[in-house]
Amino acid sequence: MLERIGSRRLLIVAALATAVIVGVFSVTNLASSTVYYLTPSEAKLRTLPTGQLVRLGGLVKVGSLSIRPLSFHGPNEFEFVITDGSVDVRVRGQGAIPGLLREGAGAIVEGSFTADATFIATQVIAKHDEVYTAPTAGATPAHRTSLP
Amino acid sequence: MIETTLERGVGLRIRPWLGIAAAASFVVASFMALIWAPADAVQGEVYRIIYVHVPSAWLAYLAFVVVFLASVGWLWSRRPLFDAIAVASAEIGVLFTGLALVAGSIWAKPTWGVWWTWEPRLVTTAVMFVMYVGYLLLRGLSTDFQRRATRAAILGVILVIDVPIVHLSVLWANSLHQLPTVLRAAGGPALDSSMLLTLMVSVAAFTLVYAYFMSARVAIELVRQERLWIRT
Amino acid sequence: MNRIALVAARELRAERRQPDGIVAATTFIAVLVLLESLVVGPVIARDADVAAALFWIALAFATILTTMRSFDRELEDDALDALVALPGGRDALFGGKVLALTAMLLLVAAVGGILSLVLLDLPLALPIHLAIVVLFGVVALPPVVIVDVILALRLRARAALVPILALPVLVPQLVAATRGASAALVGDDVGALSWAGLLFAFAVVYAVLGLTIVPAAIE
Repeated sequence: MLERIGSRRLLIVAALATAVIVGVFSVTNLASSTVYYLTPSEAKLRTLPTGQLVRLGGLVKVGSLSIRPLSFHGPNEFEFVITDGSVDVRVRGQGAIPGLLREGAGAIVEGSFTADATFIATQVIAKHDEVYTAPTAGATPAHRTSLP
Repeated sequence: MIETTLERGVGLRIRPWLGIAAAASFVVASFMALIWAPADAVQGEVYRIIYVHVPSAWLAYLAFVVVFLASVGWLWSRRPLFDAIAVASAEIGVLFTGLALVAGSIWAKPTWGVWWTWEPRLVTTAVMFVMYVGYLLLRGLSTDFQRRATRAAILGVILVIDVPIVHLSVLWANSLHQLPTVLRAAGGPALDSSMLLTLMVSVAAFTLVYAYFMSARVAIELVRQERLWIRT
Repeated sequence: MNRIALVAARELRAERRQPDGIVAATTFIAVLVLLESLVVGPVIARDADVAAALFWIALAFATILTTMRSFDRELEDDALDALVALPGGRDALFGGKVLALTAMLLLVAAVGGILSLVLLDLPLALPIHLAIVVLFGVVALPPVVIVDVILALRLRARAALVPILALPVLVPQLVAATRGASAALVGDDVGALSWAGLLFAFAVVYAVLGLTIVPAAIE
């Protein structure tokens, strides 16, 4: 009886160990395909077909952001370059802009590539980090929602 | 019977003080969060939702870990008090998971630009919410005290697996949600000392509210156990 | 081990005599495959991700259906109490049910999968990889569902309760199975095998969890 319990426990431990090894191996293989967004480099590597809906994430390149209101209080026409340091992607689109979108900060765009490698965004999401600080004297917060 | 009287007596003596402490700390936390703490350099005033969002999420974790511990306690000793603690904590946990989701959503719209997006932290939190709603449903549909407590306890043990998954989900590559601010892997908390103090006071206030709710809900459950099922 | 095989054989014999579980599950999947193309249109229905997602969601519900049917049959025959009373009966119950239901669902999945491939005219790049993903995907579903059915045993509203309990826990498995099947359809061999490996890991973890926890759950 004791022997049987012992061998059963061994079987369970062995099964769990195999499961963990196979699981870890699979997850490391899959790390790139379960992502919420692709970086511009990953998108370039995969050569996505035009028109396929993807999310692209990176930093808004300093000096590239231009927002033009189409009408008073209406939607905006925007254009900026999203970068991960090595690959740049030009993003264009119309619609609402999140209050935290700014140059040098993180952003995620949803949309698709056109034939000339421009990214047409249907949605822009701003990403912000976990750091919070008080504003220095005289500076206005970058957040824009309170402005018209 | 003696046990119940004892439990209820201790609860009765502590509860008013817990209530007063919770209410007082809530007033202090509200003042600090809305007036005393400075605005954020990047987000401006919007960031103040952090003083509701983070404590709510913390309470959700705390409550579900308490469900787990009480479930193990029931399976171990079959003391009805453990079952009362489990149901009380699960109900409060569902409430604060919902509050964390709603507050997070309200915070996300003006900052990220969307109410909701299918991102790891958000999805795992929503799944956690649904799981514990299922836990409460299982309890609500069961009719026999011993069986209900045992079945719920087993579920309470299984479901706790999702709590660390929710917390660690932001560490997966390429997520949108910001990383933990206070419990950072490297370095100290990444916020101003006045903000950190406000956040700490808010978390303390929410925890006192949890303790107050718990004492009240456990007492109700003990009475119910006595009325509906003859306890041994 | 012997008792587990006994429980499984008994289950399969009952199902062969009166195959209502398999018939219901297969019909269910077939109807959903037919509906899919009508509802979302032929172009979207042929998308590898959409077809795979619908197949696995249908199979998850089919698993719930057959498992509940299997336990209801035990209750109708008053066989569950006798089984539990046997020495080692509780452990064998879980193991045997997992084996029998996995075998039944493999049949359902094969029929449903072939129907999907033919009716939706899906492009199939890697048939053997797809078979491996379906195998491990099917293996990953029953352990979770059986635990939840046992927790909801004899409750009046169990038909509503079991999906609510099982589906949130099955989310990772369903995502893995969908991605794996889709990867096999479009020809990503490493992706398909990795997802299959993950499904295998899920199956083992929940089977072990079930074996340790189910004896306590049965009164």
